[in-house]
Amino acid sequence: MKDVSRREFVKACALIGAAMKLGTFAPDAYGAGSGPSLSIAHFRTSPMGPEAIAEEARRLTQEAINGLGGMGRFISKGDVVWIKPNIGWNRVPEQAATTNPDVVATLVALCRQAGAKRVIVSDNSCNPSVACFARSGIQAAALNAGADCFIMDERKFRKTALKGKALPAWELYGDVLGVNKLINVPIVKQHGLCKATLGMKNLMGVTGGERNRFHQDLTNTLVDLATFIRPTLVVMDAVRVLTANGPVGGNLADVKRKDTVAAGTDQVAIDAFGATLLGFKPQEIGYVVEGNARRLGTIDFESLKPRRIEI
Amino acid sequence: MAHGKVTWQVWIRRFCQSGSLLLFLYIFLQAEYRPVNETGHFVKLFFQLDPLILISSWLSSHQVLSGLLFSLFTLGATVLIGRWFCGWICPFGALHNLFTSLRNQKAKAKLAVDGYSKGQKAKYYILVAILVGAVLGINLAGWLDPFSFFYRSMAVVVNPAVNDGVGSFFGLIYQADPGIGTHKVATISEPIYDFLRHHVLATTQPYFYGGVLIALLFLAVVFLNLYRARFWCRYICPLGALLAVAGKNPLVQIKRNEEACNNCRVCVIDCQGGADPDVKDGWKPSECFYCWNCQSSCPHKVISFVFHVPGGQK
Repeated sequence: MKDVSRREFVKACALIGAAMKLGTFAPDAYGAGSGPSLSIAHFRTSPMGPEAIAEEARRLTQEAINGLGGMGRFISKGDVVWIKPNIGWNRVPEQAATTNPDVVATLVALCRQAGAKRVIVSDNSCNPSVACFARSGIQAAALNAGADCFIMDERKFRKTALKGKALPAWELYGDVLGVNKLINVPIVKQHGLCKATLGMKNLMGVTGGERNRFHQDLTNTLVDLATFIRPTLVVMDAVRVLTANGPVGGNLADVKRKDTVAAGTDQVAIDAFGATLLGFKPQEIGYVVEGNARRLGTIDFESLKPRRIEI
Repeated sequence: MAHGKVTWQVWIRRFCQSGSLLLFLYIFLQAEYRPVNETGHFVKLFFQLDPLILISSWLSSHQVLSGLLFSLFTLGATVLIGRWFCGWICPFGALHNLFTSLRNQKAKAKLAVDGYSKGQKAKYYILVAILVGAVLGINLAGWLDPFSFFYRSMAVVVNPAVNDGVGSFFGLIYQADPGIGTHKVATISEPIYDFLRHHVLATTQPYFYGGVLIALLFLAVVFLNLYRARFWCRYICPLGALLAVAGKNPLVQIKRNEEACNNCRVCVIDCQGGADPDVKDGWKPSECFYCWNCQSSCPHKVISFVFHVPGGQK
């Protein structure tokens, strides 16, 4: 996303604030100041063994954030941060259906170091939540790193005006509307319906209601959602990616190591990059094209001159 | 409830019943799905003490689940000292006792119905049906075994209803978000709900369509206590019937001081089992729960319960 003027920033805040039923959800991506919009960290080797992979995930996450200028660029003292990983499925990390727990834990630690008052890690799972939170390893990792990791409460979804093309309004999780920074942490996966599930699709985890309806028009619903939510930062987990039978997966043969973690402020660009990791052209992904058309971001991620870090 | 001021025996009995009921509810809540595919040993506690389940499952499957052998203690103890299990330990019985005490009948009305009634034989027919079914290879115990019935009603009806009710109440406050200025009710109500959700309520609660039938049966059984004392225990419970048969000749028996008795029949009021404590040589050990209500309410101290060694002094 290119730098915006203060006037545009204030205007956008006012518009979005007005569109909300309640809360003061601030699209702090604008406030991220100048700096690189995309950074891609990649491990030259592909170490085996859980300890080595965990260490790899931690280092990749750290380097990807450093490539953008450090977490301090995004998180300030006293911030309440929501880290939104993919905790959607009752799978173990090796099955690459949920975000790598070490990526999540590293982000929690970085946010806390940057002075965040409270770091929340949660997601609206598709499979039964108690199982997903435990089996994905994310609950234990997040709690260990000092985050507030809880299972979402069905009562708390608030109907919120999105004023989108496909979604005029939708139920969003009440607590999400109350934070001031949101970090979207998807895992790169093939998706049976929309070819790939990346960052914008991952935002579905803050929605409630009968969200299966989204799948009738993912192109527009996801961009509506992404336009409204505007995460502070997107950190894309591609340590392992799911290349087939996504988004649920299960078969270890469908998992490939890509040993990459990317971080960026442009939702469209980072999704475009993520698509290439699965062998797709960004133009093949409907919501990436739509996001680009609506100027939510740019599909040409190379034009952002991404910082590439090889470890 | 015993009539008038109660004796210490009744207090201890009430304490044991309350403890048992609370333990049952606690164990029930512990069975909530934790992300470990095991239920833990705890959950089976009351079922393992149930000789009806042991016998019915053994006869029908020709196998014995080793944990069920604990129920032989229950059976053995009942053979020795009578149906104390029904009066002091059974959590379902404790629930029925609780609803029985909510009866709005005057003492005179209770006098007419708290004594033994022939309908109490019904439970023996139910027991026989279960045993016959078991011999024929079908384990029917789960329909009317007290713990099965109670547990099933809790899981399918009561727990979802409570979770839904409490959740909806707090949810309404959260959504409507009432308050004065910046002082919102939710700042108090949400921490309370979080505490409840953490310790008592389910994290995520499933709901069951079949619950309607089970709800009707459960409510019927529980509210029948307002009509007859401990209705389930007297008329239906097949485990009670089994223990009644086992406890026909217990070593602990009622002792009546016949000279002091003036036949006021106050002892019959609030007799839980319908064991006829007022009848000379007519006390029915197989129906007595040893609740001590009769001993407690007798104004003339006629009644006590003593060790009765067969062939010794009466």
